[in-house]
Amino acid sequence: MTWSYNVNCKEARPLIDGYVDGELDLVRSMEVESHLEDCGSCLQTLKSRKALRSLVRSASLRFDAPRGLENRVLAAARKEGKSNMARPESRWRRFSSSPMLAFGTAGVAFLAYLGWNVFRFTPGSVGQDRLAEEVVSSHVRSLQANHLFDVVSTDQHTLKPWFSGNLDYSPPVVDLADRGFPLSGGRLDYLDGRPVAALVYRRRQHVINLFVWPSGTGAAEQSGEPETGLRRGYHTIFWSQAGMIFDAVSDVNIADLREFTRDVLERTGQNAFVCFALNVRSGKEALVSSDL
Amino acid sequence: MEKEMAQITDMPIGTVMSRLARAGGRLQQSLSGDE
Repeated sequence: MTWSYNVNCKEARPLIDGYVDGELDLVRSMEVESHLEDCGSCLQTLKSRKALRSLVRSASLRFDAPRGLENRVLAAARKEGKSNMARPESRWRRFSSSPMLAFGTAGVAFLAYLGWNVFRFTPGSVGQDRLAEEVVSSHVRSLQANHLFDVVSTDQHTLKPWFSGNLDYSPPVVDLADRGFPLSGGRLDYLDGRPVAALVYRRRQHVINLFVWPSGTGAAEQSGEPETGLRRGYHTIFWSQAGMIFDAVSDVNIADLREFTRDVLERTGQNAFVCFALNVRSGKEALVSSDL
Repeated sequence: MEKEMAQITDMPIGTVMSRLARAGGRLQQSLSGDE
């Protein structure tokens, strides 16, 4: 460790976070800076704190708590409530009102929050998280801006060619009117950095947007069980099937949306094959998938 | 931010900063996997 003018490592270390956050006054900032010039190990700390900072920043700020967390918290609170009622002047009571606990709790909550965010920072999950956010935003926008449809049609044989003409793939289009989800139109939307097909279904007064696009590379490459999510009051169900990603989003209750998902899965499956032709003009092979 | 924390919790700002530094260190450690 090299000698420095104003502060040594022991003094500088706690200041590095404040320095990274721009919280230090000028004099202290300069002290830290002059120390950093001389001290490789503190410089390393600075670099890793900056990395940590950008990691936390780049993760989406919205996420769903793990399943069961709510129940566990409620159960713990009930238990706590009972024992508090039994001994109203317990030591816990007095302790719980101290600022110490408030700070501790805030700290734990903050770290848990950071930890959870960063824990999710595997490329797949953040990609997916961001995607889920995008999907809900598109859904909301489609309802707000009076831009629900590019084509109003309840006929799958009108919609399908329209999509094929406007996209470089052909999404499966099925009508589910007999299942209580009448198809009412379609539009082009933009998700995951590409134009996608948005199919609009109705359930009573509710709108269901079903986004469909080919599973390319990266975050979208997922298959198997439909994944449900809840975001800003909208339910989402995400699944992939026969080389396509499906994302259904709506404010209908989750049971209805599950039913919808089952119906889509079943109906597209019935079509014997769900084909998606990658743009033949671009020279890519046309793919026909029947592994349902 | 640190100043507000110190005011709210009625703690010296040095304490807030050193605790934040320690917490940040632990977070980083647990994330990089070497406990």
